[in-house]
Amino acid sequence: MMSLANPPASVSHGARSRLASLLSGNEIVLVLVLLVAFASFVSPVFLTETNFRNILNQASVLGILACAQFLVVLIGGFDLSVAAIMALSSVIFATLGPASPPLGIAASLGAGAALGLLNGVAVTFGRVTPMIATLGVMGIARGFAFVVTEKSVAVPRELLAPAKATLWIFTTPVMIWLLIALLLSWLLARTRFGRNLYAIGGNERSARLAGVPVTSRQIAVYVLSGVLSALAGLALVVRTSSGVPHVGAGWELDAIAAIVIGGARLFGGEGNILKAMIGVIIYQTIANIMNLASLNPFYQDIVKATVIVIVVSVSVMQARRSTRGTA
Amino acid sequence: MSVKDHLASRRFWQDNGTIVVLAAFVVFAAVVSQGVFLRPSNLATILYQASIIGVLVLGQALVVIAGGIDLSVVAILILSAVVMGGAGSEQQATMTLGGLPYLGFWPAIVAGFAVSALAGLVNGLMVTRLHIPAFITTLATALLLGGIILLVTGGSPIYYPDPFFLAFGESRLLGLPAPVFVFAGVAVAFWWLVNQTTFGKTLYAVGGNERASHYSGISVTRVRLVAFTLSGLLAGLAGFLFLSRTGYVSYASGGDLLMATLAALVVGGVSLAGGIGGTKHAVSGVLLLASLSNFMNIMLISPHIQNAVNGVVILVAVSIYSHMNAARA
Repeated sequence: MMSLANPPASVSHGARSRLASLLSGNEIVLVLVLLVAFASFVSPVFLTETNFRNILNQASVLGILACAQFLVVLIGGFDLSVAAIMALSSVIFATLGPASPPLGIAASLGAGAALGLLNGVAVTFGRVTPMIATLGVMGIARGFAFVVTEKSVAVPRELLAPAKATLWIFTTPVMIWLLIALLLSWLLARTRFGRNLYAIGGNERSARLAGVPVTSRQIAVYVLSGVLSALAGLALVVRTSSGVPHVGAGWELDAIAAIVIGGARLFGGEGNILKAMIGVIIYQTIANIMNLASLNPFYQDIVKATVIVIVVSVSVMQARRSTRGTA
Repeated sequence: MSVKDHLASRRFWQDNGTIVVLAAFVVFAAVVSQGVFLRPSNLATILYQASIIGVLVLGQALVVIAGGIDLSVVAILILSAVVMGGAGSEQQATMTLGGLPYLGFWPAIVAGFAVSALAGLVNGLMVTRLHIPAFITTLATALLLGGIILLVTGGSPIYYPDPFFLAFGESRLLGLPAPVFVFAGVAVAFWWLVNQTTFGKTLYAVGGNERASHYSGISVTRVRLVAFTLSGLLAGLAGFLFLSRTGYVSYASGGDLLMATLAALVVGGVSLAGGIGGTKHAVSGVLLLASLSNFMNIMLISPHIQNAVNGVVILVAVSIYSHMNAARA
């Protein structure tokens, strides 16, 4: 009520805060631009079509996982099972796909949906904290992936030929990723379902009291996350031409880091999925720069850790400042 | 009367549920394995397996009771083992590709504990000063330590530590491996710390309600700092035990350990929301999971299926405990 009675603080300040408010919300784009500028100094190869295609192609699978993670983080949860479900989906398709591609796709997505449902039911009816519920499902998915196959399964070239097409710098996995991101962006901004997710993440109790079907929305989000993770598995098969049971250890956390870089609030209720995807590109670009600069891979984890700490502390400080401002 | 009885029994199950399940499981495993499970040598194996993870879990429990989480314990364990094994043996120091120097046996042991406590302290400082959520902080620490481990070892494993380690791991007292006594000692110290000291009371207070604790004059920052530092120190001790077991450690060791520590806590009934659970819970969770994994090994169940079974066990256990805790609140 206070904020309605008083004019917004930014109006009473000068040009400096107007610049700040123009930048605020779009810092992420600025960061990407600066990063690209920096990278082109570090390596002459960076600004080439091939390298951009590489970055996007490498970002695509993580990007789809980040879409899944974004939805769950938005409603105030976490999904640690995304990468394990991706691995399971990749081996299911690699095993069944050669006999019947539609069956392979259906089985992969079905497994993702089923495990997502398990997450959702555990979190809602089971009252298990999301981190632990999805950790349990991560173990289940990873276990099943190894039951399907102990070793990587190569997928015949002919089977993937139609999916190997590229459009300029966009490979098929990249196009799948961008399509998913755009669809979700529309879903989140323009549908009742999407707005409900922001309400749940902002304050679950108020959302419930306001008549939002919280439980069914939560379950739907976890199912969606499972299906998207399975799609990431299919994109991975297209990219690497194989199904790998142990692939992607730790990617669930990379996905969280990437979307937080992209401005998603770690505790739910805030965030823009397209900016989160820019976060993914930034995350991948940093890795790309370190590779191009032939940085000792041992330092790469250290750099990654530092980036995560800086980004998250900035995001936490912003959140604290904004709560202090309205209190 | 009946309501009181009902509450009393719920309380009983919250406090002793896992112990009852553990007892029932031991009987079940003994029958199904036709006695193999109960052989003294097998029980000693279970306790040995439980002791490394148990020390890790008790450290993690301090942080969790205070309302945090420490995802860096396994990385700290490996760093500690690498320092103790790599810098404490002259032969190993000449074989390690990275920059790890030879320090001498005792200095290396001290250094191992020191880096572990330091890592824990850094976690605590980041959580309390920068206000970064514990799981992100400790995740970043784990990544960072992973990089440092690769750097100091050059990626080569430690397989020639001082002979003391293997000798310690193989030594027995009353038929039990020495590490089991270390675990028991840590458990007693843990019990004393959380039940008999002011620090223990403040630990539960902070985990139960941080704001109320702050307003009652408890230094939340200090409590969290101590909890994270002790967790790091115990992870360092677990590193010592880990190295004693096989005399081998590499940057890739300890894959499923982190998940196992969290699983043991929640299966034992320590709430990840903080403020609930103690020695009995943590130790019974560790023993139950160690028994389950040993039983599945005896029954020749594939380790991958075991992974899946553990996942289901976590989901079921947490769901039961959180329904009980919600009813109590």
